[in-house]
Amino acid sequence: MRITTARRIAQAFFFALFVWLCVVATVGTRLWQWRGWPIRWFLELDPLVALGTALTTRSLFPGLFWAFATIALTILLGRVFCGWVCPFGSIHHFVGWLAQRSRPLKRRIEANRYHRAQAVKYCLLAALLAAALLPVGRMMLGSLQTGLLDPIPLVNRSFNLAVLSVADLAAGNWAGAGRFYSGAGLVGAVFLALVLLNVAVPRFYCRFICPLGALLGVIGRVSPWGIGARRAKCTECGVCDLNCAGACNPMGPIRPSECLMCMNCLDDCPSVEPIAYGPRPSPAGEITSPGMSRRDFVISVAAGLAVVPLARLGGATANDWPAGMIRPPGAVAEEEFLARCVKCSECVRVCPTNVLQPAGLSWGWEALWTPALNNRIGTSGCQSNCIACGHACPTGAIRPLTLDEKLGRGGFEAAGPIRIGLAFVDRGRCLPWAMERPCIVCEETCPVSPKAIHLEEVEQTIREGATVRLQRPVVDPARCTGCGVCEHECPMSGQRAIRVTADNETRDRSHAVLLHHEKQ
Amino acid sequence: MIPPDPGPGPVATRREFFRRGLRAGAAIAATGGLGAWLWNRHPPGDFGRTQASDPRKDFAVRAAGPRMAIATGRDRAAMLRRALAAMGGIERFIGRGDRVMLKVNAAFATPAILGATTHPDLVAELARLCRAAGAASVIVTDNPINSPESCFELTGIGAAARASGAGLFVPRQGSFRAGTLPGGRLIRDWPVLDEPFAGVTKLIGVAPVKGHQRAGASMTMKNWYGLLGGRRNQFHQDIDGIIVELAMLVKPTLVVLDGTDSMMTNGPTGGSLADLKATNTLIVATDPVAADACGATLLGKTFRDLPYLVRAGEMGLGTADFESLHPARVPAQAS
Amino acid sequence: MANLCSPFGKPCGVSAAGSLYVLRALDGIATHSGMQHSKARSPGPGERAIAACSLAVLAAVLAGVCIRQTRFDPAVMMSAGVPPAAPAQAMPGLLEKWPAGLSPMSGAEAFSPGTLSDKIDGKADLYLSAGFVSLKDQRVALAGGAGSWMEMLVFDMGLPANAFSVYSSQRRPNAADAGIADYSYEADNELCLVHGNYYVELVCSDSSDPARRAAETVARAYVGATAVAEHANMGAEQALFPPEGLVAGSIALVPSDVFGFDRLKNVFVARYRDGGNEVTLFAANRGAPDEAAKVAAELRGFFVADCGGRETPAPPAPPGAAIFDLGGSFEAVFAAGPYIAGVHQAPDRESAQRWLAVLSRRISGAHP
Repeated sequence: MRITTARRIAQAFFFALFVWLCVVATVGTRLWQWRGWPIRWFLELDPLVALGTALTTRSLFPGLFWAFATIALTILLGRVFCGWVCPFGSIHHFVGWLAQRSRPLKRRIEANRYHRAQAVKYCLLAALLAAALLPVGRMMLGSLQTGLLDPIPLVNRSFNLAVLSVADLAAGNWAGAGRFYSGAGLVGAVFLALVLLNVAVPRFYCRFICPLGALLGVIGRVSPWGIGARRAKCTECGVCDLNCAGACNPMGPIRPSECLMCMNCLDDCPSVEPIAYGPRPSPAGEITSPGMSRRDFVISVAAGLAVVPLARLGGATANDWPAGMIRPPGAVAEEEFLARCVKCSECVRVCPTNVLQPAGLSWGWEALWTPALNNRIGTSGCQSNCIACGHACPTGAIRPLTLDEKLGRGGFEAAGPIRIGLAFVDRGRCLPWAMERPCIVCEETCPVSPKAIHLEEVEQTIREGATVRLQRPVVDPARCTGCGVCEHECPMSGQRAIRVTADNETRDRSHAVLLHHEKQ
Repeated sequence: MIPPDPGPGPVATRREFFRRGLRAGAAIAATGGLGAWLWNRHPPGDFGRTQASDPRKDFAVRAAGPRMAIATGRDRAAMLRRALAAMGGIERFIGRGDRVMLKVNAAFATPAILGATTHPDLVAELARLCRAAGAASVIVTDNPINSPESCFELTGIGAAARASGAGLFVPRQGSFRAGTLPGGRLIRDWPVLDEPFAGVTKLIGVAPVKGHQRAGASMTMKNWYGLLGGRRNQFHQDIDGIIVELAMLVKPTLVVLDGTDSMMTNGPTGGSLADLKATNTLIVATDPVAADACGATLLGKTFRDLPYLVRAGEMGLGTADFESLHPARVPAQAS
Repeated sequence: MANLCSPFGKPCGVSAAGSLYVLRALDGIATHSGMQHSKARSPGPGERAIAACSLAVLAAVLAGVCIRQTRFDPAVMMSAGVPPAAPAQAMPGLLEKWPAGLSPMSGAEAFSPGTLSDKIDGKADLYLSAGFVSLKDQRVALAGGAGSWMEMLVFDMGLPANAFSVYSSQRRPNAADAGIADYSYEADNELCLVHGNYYVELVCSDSSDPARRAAETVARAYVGATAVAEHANMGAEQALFPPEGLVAGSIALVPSDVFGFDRLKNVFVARYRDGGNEVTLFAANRGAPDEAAKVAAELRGFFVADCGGRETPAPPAPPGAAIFDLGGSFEAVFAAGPYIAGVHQAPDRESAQRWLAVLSRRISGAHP
């Protein structure tokens, strides 16, 4: 078997595995549900997730040790991850091939020549890592924005929110209930644009944008083996560029940090043994520099360092914290959350009620695509017996809670249940408060025991002169966990008459409403 | 359009290859070391809440001596004394100052005569013997899910504990702590009884021999089920698996298996005296697997009929072929 | 580029410089040149080995992922379960007015299919597989009896047949007919009865006469106070079994997994004395002859395929019957009209054939 055939099998295998792990990411024990499938595995294999969170938090969340496997592979063999494993890379590879295959050979060869703009991805990587490294805020943690461009979180997010949701609609809802994601359009549009760029240049994203590819290119510089050409036997026909995935100039001098180990040049070279895989350096010479000048590097780092403090000037992590942004139960305090979340949307996908949503830009662009609850969109609020999101999170931005901890029992009585917010009755919209009509839906549906909503009985003389007895809902902040079931069920469907905000959330003491919570 | 040759650089000599190999090896080692050093150095902020613990409870006394004794007769207290004497006396296991926990089976609020729960005579005598051997305290506990107070009272275990100077611990919700059993598949982040174990130095399991609708038989190993909290009934889906994990979870000082009367039918609740058969046997052992394998014979089974005994034996958690331990047999007429 | 070396350490000369490469560009002679795209490159041994290793790694990853999925994530264990039961609420007692001399020790409790095992642990399956709906239970003290008490358990089984099923499969060997309700018996300290869709157990803390009399009084009071839509009457099915040799009270309805066969459900069984041995006869009405014949065929397949049985020569009667030798124990099965029936665990073939004849006569009498 040729090595290129093995590569294609590997690409198909990892892509299929990736799609399967997205499909099964719903809570349940059936074979096509989560049960024990390692749904976080591709994210855990991603060294940029590991390095980014390690820079922001000076710690490695346990599952992320898998990234070491990828790093070791890259140190030994170069960017095999990009050419053989990465599901996003495989999409580009395939679409690029589709778009280019009928074009004249000359044009194809030219499309795969090295372009100096391929250095841009190293600039992006430098900027993103600099942003992660700079300690800001009260907790002196960095801000993790790698997830915006990191291919694994990006493709994970795109498949979970856009591709599979569209497939769900088309195929009659695999995932059970119909799923809606606010902002899925933007996620899908970014995905589609990146994929369509392959029509212009194959693997456009991998060559010019991908910060993970840049990182692996830097790491892979030390690998002892690589592709090489011997000029003595080379006719310099240039055919090795015909299907070259990385645009790494295999004819030499090769750029090892651009080479994706696709091995197409071995197949394409028409002559006797000028191109081969073996010990480095290539006899035809190598250019190991990423092609980024010192000036480019300094500008990138400076931009990365500047951008986070600028974002924080908005005050979203300080006094102007967005009360409408309700983080899922177990989410760590906001500054640490922004230091850990890679915007992969795994939590959003597993949420069984679809209440967890990717945030848009309304809460600051640092929070773009991070998870927050929207009690109108799903099938219910946050379910009291569910801890799925924290166990789906690869980085600990949402802690893996036990049910006991979430509900404040079994050793957590003193700490009380996890509160993600607090419900407020809008007395201007509530039927019994504003319109003298009976309604007790919120009290009835409150899942907290004893109920966090009680009814205040009043006798009211109404317009026609008759007297009615009204029961008006009142929220007890000591009991309310902010689950949002009441908001979801409130019959005022336009804007609910009882709404949850992040006030009183457990994860930040400065958001407390009461001085202390009595034991329940 | 071939770029100019970069000029003389390193060439792929053997020496160059080893240099690069060494560099790659060093890079891998450095990355691995850094990763290990960073490994969960700062866990996600938990706002002062606690993390899952290792729930294992090891109270085994690893001193040489007989590992099993089988007494016959009808008087439970006398059989217990004779079996313990054959094991080298209770002093071999319980010493001055020990704090002893007796894990009984009080799962049902049924009278002692129905044999669904640990017999109060046995609880009283065991507590008395422990005190006599110098134990500083003895506590009796179990976690019946349904109305624990009435379970302890109606079985007579509560009264027996009080009469013999033992304390009774009735679990509350806060008595459990989430734990993950190393190597466990089922006991993961699961609430395990924790509070009464504070200060305890010895653990004795005391259970009757009963047939069990789901597990085949319920004896000393199934008795540890009472250490689990939460909605544990979902473990019924893999009853053999959970019993084996319980054997991994708990290493007792001793187990006492009461086969004076064995519940042959309609277990584990029984309900009628007709479900019981006089099998006139009481087993004391340091190895719960061996004790249960012997108990199975009272139900007309062998350990091969009970998958959890076979698996526990294969995993080295105990000896399913109990005869190979050469148990001391103490007939009724012996002292 | 003199003296290059392969990664595997073999020194090689100048002229063989190319051999250091693990993957050769070409192992044979190039058949084309220039801009022609080679499709026919045949891989060398090194390349083949590396390709094979890559596929082995993929297989290992696949195996690892498949093994991993059997270990459920704790989030799935917790989040996929049924929601926790609502806290117990005060319930009326099982009897509005307890007979004189009896006083409730506690309020009544109720259990649903989700919580039944909290009360009866491993025995819950027996009830759940027979259509369990709910259990209500209460304890009452007997006045005068020193510490004597009684627990009353009322299982709502949905249908009278289900109630009869759990009643008959737990019947104690020394049971004596109590003559209360649809079916009932007393055994030592216990009184059990079927009243319509309810199966009721009265368990006394001892087997004294006052306790047994109290149980009877409670049973009659309960039956008198509880209306049911339909009474349990298994007379037609019981009449299928010949009275000669029948072990008294041994007719039982097995709801599922009869003889370990998961497709065989709702079958009546009865034990018979046969010399020093015991045999079991079984019979069930499947509604239509087609259905009965289909089940009989499946059961025959089960005896051969799953039990390792061997079919013996067909018995003279009834038509279509078959006898199987399961290594010293004999099973017989036949279908007649809407009925499927047979003999289970006969000690020898002759006995199986004899009981078969008796049973088929009886069934053809019931259904000419």
